[in-house]
Amino acid sequence: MRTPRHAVLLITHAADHFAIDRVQAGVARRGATPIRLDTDRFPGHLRLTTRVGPAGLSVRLRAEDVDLPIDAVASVWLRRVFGPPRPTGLSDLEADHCVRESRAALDGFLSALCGAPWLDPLPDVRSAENKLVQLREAQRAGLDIPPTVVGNDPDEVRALWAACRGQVVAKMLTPVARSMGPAPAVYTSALQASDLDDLDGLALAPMIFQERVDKLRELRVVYVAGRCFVGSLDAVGDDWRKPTAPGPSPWRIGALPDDVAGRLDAVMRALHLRFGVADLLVARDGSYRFLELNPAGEWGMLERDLDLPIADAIAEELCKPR
Amino acid sequence: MNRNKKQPGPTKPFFARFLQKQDLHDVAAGVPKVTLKFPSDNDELPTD
Repeated sequence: MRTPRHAVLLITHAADHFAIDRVQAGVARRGATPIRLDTDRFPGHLRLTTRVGPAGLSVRLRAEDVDLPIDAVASVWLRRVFGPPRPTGLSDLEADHCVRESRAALDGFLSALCGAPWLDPLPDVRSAENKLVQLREAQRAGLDIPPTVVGNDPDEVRALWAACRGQVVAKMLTPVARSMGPAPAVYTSALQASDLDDLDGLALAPMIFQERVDKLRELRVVYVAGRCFVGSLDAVGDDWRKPTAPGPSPWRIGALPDDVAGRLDAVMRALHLRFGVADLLVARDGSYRFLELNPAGEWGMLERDLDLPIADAIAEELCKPR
Repeated sequence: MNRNKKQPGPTKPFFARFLQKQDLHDVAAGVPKVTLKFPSDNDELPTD
């Protein structure tokens, strides 16, 4: 069994590939030992132990060939955290307890690693995931944001509709997520006039309503410790994230004007993030509009299709001497 | 009129209409679709 001395812990899930592999290779190239922690393999296939005693607290991770004491963890990359799987063949009560106990043990294990630098700390990621927090910081930094209403008041939605002359989209407050399975998602969608007569459903869940900008391009900007890697798409529909028929990659290398990049940098600093994926669009009038930020946003397609060295930038940040 | 009588509330959240439209669209196309994200169609940390 290996016991590495200078380990970089890469937190993800068992089905992850490509992006995690690239970062893993980048860490190894820099002389550190990448240790992959697939959180959904706990507790069935991964042993995690937290010991508390007279000598203090110690944490140990044991996988097939790795024994990792906590003081060997030099840094942590938080890519994904999948919850422990729900056991089958048990009563609901037993299964609920299993998941809750496993999650509590996993959370405790991860919190014990707070002495190492994280890219990024989970509490900061959680806070930054909130779309209202993002919009507030983006506005404070001077980024251009389409007029937006977040809430459950039908009158406010109708007022935005009138102000935007009927050009409004509706979107969710939480990120689009289909994981790697076929679960349905709600993508950004244009609001129709007929929707205005039927807004009562906002009493069950609020939504984001935003001006539907006449756009030329969509940008996905991957921010790594001050560097911006930009993928660009010609404008198609209301949400480029919506599944479409397969075809050649439409991604192209894009760029941000210096002033926009500087403002995005200010947003990331305000949110205490060194990594994040921002979605912006370029309007027909040439202005750059900020839409949202995903602290755990996907970026593998930009590295695969455009050779943008994002994984290397992440590995460099993880291996930076502190 | 009994003012204390509860009025029936909405039965579906507003976002449900967009979920349904998308489901129909996906089925109608008849071919497997993909997103422009890779390797996952995921932008979050799903700790559920």
